[in-house]
Amino acid sequence: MNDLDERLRGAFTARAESTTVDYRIDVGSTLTPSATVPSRSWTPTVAIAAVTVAIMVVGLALISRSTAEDEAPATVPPPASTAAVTTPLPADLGINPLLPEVFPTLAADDPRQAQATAAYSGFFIFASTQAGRAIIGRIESGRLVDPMAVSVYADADEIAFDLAGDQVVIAGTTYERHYVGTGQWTLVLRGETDTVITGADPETFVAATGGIPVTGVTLPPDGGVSFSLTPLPVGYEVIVEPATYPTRSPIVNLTFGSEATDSFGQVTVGRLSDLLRQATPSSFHQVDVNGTSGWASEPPARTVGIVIWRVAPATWATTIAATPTEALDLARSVRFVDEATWQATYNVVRPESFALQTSTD
Amino acid sequence: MFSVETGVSVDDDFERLYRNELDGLVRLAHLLTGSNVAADDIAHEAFLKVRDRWSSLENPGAYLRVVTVNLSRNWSRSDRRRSAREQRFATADSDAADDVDGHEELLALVDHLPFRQRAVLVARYWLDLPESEIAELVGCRPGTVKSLASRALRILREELS
Repeated sequence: MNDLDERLRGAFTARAESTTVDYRIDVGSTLTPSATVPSRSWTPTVAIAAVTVAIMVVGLALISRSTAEDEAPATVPPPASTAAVTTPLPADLGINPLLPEVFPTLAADDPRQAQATAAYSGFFIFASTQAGRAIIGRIESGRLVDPMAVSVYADADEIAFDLAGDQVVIAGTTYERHYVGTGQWTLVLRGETDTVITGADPETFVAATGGIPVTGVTLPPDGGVSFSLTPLPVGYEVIVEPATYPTRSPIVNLTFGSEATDSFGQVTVGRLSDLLRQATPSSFHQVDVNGTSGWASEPPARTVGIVIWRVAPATWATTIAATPTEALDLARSVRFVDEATWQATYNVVRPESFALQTSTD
Repeated sequence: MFSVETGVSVDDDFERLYRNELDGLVRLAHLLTGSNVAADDIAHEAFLKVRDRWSSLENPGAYLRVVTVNLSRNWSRSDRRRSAREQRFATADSDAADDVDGHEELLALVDHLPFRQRAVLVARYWLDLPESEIAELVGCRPGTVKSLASRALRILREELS
């Protein structure tokens, strides 16, 4: 063993021994009693896709929820969904900017409304905000074909893979190549920032285009990664525009029925497009959701249907139901209101813990 | 009306894990970030993440360590972007209550290494992990561990000389 090895061992030991450890008894006891991990029984079916980016939907320790049955208000305001898009941005109203811009409800005369349960249900969690992400793909006969997730990370160290990769040279450039599961491959181009593309066959795409179609990468001082997509090859389109998503963006939902019945359904609304999680390993086709273009899953038999569409400039909704038809029907039935109306309708109170989630860092 | 969704209860095992592992995690994060204050926060955040996934973890201790490395990496990178590390480097770490007699120069150099190089050194020389486990911890191939360590040691030798 050489001298530097010894010096490193000594230095690390010295620093470790100097470390003070704050046993936050209050934190420890706070962690334990709130001790429920909320479970949605159909989550495993839905979560088939979480492979390309480190996104998780996790429940909150504190979940406030109420049913319309419990204390239903006298009336349910049924604003048109088209009006919801013009709702002032939460930031403009001094509201937590990471909350959805609009909140889901059903028409007062919708028979599902009586059973509907609303909740602040958790957070979308990215491993970090230090990345921008987009989805590109082709639309052929209304189907999303060859979808690929394009991400730019501020630092190579942000990216971790479960499986070791190898190196490939494409058009004279060396990429790391990793298999990330469910038939999906990722190419990583290391540099000052790190560019990543994930899909069923990103190598063919990159070989045809001469590179990952990213330009204008900037690291804004307030966090995140901004980039633009270069002109895409003929036939390819931007499906989800490049954006940085906050590490902990609250999501809200509206649920009725149960998985044990054929009538269950759920609407989830948040700042994240579920296409970022779902598009690359699943099949989707375009659908019309009250005049807005959305995406419906093409699920294998006996799995749920999913519809994803944008409902405000930075807010997306996802419906989940027993079948694709029911998911689309639910999407078309949802109305969007502001948070106060939603809270009043379902007697929901924003958990105090959400007040902490105001930073994107 | 409020209610809490039914779920998997976190029992005494979590508390036991917290008591058993916190010390080592804070030390690990301290070595990876150079900041005792950040290390405390990182270790506790790691426990929060483990709590969230408690029901699905087969080896919470190993997961804790990986999460701690990832959080330390995020902290180091964001810290770097704020240039705080540069300042800390120049001012000999105002945060630290380090009692590291004779090791200040070397630790300052280690703190200045790219994160993965630093993590590989900590995993090798403090955790005494084999290369395969270092690769899992750092999130790279075993072969990359060698090259990261080699580059780190070369930089340190050059700086020290």
